[in-house]
Amino acid sequence: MNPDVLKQIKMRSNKIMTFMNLIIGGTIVFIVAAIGLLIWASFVPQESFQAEKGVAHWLLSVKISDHLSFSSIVPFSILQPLSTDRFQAKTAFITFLLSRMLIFMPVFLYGLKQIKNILLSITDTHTPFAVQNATRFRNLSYAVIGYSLLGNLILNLSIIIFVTNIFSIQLTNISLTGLMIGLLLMIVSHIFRYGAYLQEEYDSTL
Amino acid sequence: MAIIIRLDRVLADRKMKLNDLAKIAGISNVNLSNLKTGKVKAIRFSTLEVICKTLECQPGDLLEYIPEE
Repeated sequence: MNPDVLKQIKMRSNKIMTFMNLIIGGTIVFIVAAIGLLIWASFVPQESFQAEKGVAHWLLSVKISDHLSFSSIVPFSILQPLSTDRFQAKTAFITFLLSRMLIFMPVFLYGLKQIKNILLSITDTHTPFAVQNATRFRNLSYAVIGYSLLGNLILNLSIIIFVTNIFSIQLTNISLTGLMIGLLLMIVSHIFRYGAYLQEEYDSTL
Repeated sequence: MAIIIRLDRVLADRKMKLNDLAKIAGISNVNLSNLKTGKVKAIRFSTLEVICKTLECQPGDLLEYIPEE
């Protein structure tokens, strides 16, 4: 590969790496803030919580002060469109946020870590085509497919168990877009695996 | 591999060191060392041409085929 092109790729990878580090830092701050909010919300009386039914979602909110409130949008596919006296807004709010955080954040951070490691391999070596990167893409695809299949279903289940006690599973909680992205990442993994083979052939050619 | 590189033999005949060949041919020491020790899987004709030109030899002097049993 042309050394100038390689240098450009490495410079771009460094910029993306800086951006990634900012996202990771922001995510960690968000997690800490969310944990703080949940702990605070658990001590707030039930009357401060509100559940408003929208067209296709609930708006669960908690009043922080006279002019400030924190709200969360919960689609009907997660929390059914029941009457507001059938469940407690506080329980729904805490269950939804906590479950969302416990399901989404580990997958998100794992995905970021894999992408960061792929970028590091580009900045450290002369090629991104390595078997380790193919494995990282494969693991990323598993994470995306797993989350697409199970993420919202588990959220749905936690709402059923802790909030409504009404069994109602929505298959629309399976994200087809996520499944397609996961499959695409699997294909990219195979491409990188073949690329690693070609790279090795090239590197051992004088 | 069935193809053996006889670079060390040709270098000895020409009384040349690997470093000197690397300098004159413009090939890195690492690559020539890999070639000499048989770690290389393939060689481009352009590289073979440069080595043959520097050592004033034929490709057949550098490459030997020994069938694998």
